[in-house]
Amino acid sequence: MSVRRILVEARPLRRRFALSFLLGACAIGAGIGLMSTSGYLISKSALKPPILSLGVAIGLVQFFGVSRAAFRYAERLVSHDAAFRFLRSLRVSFYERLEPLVPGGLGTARSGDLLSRFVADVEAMQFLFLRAVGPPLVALVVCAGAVLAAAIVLPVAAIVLLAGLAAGGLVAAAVTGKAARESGRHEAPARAELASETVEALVAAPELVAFGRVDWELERIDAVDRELGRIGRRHGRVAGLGEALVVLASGLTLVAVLAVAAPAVRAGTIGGVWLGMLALLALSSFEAVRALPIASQQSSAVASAAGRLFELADRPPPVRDPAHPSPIGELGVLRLEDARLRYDERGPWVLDGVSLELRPGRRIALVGPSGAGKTTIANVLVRFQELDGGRATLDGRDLGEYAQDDVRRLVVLSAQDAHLFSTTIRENVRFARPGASDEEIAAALRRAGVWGWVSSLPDGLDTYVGETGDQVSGGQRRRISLARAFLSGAPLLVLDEPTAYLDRNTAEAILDDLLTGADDTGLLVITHDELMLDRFDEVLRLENGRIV
Amino acid sequence: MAPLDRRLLREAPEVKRFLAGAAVLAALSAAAAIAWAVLIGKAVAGVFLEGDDLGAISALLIALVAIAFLRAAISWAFETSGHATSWRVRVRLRRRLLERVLRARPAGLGDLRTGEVATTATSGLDALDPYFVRFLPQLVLAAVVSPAIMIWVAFHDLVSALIMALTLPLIPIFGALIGRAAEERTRRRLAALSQMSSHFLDIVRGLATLRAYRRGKAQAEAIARTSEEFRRETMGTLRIAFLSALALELAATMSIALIAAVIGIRLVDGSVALAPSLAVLVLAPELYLPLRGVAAQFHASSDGLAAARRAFELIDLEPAVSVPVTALTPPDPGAVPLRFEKVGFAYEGRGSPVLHELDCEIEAGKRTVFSGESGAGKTTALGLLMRFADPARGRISAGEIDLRQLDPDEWRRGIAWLPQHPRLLAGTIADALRIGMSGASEDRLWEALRAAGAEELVAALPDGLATRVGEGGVPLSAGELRRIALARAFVREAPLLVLDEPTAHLDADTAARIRSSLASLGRGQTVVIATHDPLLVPLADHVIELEGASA
Repeated sequence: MSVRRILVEARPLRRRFALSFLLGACAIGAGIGLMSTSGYLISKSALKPPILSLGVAIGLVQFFGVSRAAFRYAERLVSHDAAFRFLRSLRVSFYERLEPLVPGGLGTARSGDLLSRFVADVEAMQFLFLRAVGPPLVALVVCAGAVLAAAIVLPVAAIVLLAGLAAGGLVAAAVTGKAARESGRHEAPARAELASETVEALVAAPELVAFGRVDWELERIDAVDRELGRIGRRHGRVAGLGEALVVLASGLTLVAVLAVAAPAVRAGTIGGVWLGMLALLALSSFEAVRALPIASQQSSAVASAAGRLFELADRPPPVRDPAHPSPIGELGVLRLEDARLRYDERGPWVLDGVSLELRPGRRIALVGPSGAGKTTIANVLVRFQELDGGRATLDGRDLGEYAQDDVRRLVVLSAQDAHLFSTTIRENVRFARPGASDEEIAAALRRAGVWGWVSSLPDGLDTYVGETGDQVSGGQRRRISLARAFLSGAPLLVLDEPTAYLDRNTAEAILDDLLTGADDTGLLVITHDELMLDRFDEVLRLENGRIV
Repeated sequence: MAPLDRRLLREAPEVKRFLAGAAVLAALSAAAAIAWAVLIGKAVAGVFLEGDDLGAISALLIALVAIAFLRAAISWAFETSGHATSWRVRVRLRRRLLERVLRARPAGLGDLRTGEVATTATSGLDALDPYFVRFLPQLVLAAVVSPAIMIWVAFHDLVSALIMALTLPLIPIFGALIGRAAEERTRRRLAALSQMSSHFLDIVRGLATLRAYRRGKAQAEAIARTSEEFRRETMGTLRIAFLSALALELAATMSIALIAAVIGIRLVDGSVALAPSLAVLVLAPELYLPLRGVAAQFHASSDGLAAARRAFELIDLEPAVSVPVTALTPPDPGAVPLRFEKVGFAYEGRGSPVLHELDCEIEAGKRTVFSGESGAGKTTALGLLMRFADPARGRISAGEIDLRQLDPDEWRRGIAWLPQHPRLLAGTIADALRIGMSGASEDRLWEALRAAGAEELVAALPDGLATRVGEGGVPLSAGELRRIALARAFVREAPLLVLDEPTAHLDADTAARIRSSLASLGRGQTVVIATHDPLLVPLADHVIELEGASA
């Protein structure tokens, strides 16, 4: 089902894929031609005809020899080109579906894992045609050609060949496909368990060592590993069976072709010169079938990846733009009135009647234990999430009447887990306001309390932050992402845990700067470590979705 | 790169067994291939030239059926033994790797990243699967079957053997000559491919951030553009890179075509017979097949060996703590004074030392508090006492014995520890509490929970002591986690109690209860506490103020 929808995505590329399959079929066909004309050539020569009469056969043999390699080369180029084009369009189309879902539409699952898996699944789709759809189609064309060629020589041999190819190909593919699905069902959970046990052991290493439990934990991991090995070996036995069946089918088919062709030769139905050709035709045509077990394995892997993809991509976006968005004002009074929200219909209220008002110049601290709903409020204020009850308004109008991007021009959220892109510090800050000068970027970094560190780096703003910012510390990462919010110039800022990962002195220095600043920015600071609360205009304490 | 790794052969005996088995299978496979070709040649030539009927060739056909079964069985045996070997090697390497990492870096991984080590130990080692299942069998087949076929052909048709002998080396030579340049380029493209994927991943992971700054929609175009650029550049490279595959293919197919033509001409002049000629023709593709398989699976070899090498790198990790060859029997850690004598310590890769010439004594049976600013080295001092690492300078002694003379596991047996950032393994609360004392009774667990101010907390959980915690279990707040971890330390009933920040993240009431529990601890125990909670200081018999190495 999902696979069919992926196939629809490939529509614009169908000619390229068709060409690559055709070239693939020609390559295998040339290989069969090489062996069977060679068989004919040798048999014919045994009758000691004048050498010149062998010219055509010798020419054909050489032709097939060269063309097989040439077809294969062309097929590789066309198929890779088509796969890359397909990957591009998949990336774009799935990205466009995913974009409106983040972050509000992903549910409570760990979104990092979800997104990584999404990317891996999109990338896996590029092999759909090359490895799953292509081989059966190619096999079909090649087998039909081989059977037809045999039928011209001796129809009964063609029937035997057809039966052999069908039995070998289909049975082997069925066996392997079943094995792949079974092992997918059992192996994936065992693998996940092994991975999580391993991570757990590494994370809890100090405990394990301190309490003398290293061997015990290793034994636990070994037990999971043994289970995984049992599944893997069973899978190996069945997968091996698939390949062995193709080998067996090709051998038995050859014997059967000889057994039906020998009486025909003796009866004079066909000339003896054709016998060698038929034998080699039967042998070499199994090359087309040989790719089927792997294709069937691949197609079940691709199918489950496609299923996961659509499961995510088909989710309804949590927030939609109105058909005729209202123009945004410049005043910027953001209010929540009795806001209520929950993640599923029967679940507990995450926000249970929250009211607040944020306007330029006002500084609000939102405190409370983790899980109280602080981050949810932040998401509602920038319209990542829609309320289930109550109102969220900007300058008196419902937030839902504005285009999302217009709201986010006025209200900027600096999320707790803001992402650093794997590029330079400059680019990571600048994208909040493309066209900002280095001086403005430096000023934003200074407000975030990190300019001293950045300017001390040998590469300064050009320093690469690593993949997801892994070459800078948690505190530096948080502050670089804070600088983005400052650079954006938005009149209202929602800062979720701006001082996370920072020691007390640095945290206080940043807050101090933020709260002494003479500008007119409205601030909502979400925090759990309750620093300098007396300096805020208002302190809201959130517990279990209510302001207390 | 060599297709086999000496270290892998030395350390994983099952690899040698696998290779020996594969050699036997390959020899059988060569014999079967030759017999197969000879019988086909005989049967075809018999019917064609001698006018044999079905009865006359039936023995040949029955033999062919038997060989077909044999060849299928060989193929199956290769596959299953490859899987089994791969699994055995993976289990062995994984266990050694984890054991080494846990013991060598007990206090955390330092500059190693948990994710990377976990990947190396799990999915990284999966690269061994194609190596054992696909690559090595082909390599052994190429080493055994191809020469065997050449030798047989040489005995029956010297000219064809000559053609084979001339073309066969072309395959590895092409593979090496054209291959190397192209391979380098292909590898660079593959690196670019994985960069492309990570670019996409980077954007997708950062989507929430992009959308917060109204940059979400614009990225679709960026994705399309970079993907298209990548395609254009890569196709340019591949056009050349695939030439090596073209050359390999041509060498194989053209030599078959040549053998067929030359045999044909010699059949006409009667210098060879039909049956062996057909056999040579049937054998010709089998000659090139394993070599082409080796070339096609070459990446499986480099990936597999690279995975093994990464595992060995971790297995060779320098331990942070030394284990003496002949360890002394550890003294009772609660009954002797523990002395830091001019102890210095610096973390790897960080310039300034954390501890510098620390001199202090922890008296037996007393409560000692390490206090000081964060970063002053309190946690480090406790870690050294726990022997998570050895001091870089000076020594720590228990009674008169330097801790380095003791087996670290033996020494820790007498210590109960509360870490600064406690973790619970996935399991029930009871499992978590019994980690330091597997036989502890339920009464004992409740008693410890009470002392740690966690009794009501656990009693209120849906399944009490049987409630699952950790990954996939009931989520606990930092303060709840700390109280359970403190109870876990109490359950151990060790003579030395080492507590890092026992009252952090706790509300005032709970902190007070824990302070009174600590105050009433039996005098038989030595208690060492690191804290910046000023209210804990009055409980101490002795306070050691740490000021950091810079002071």
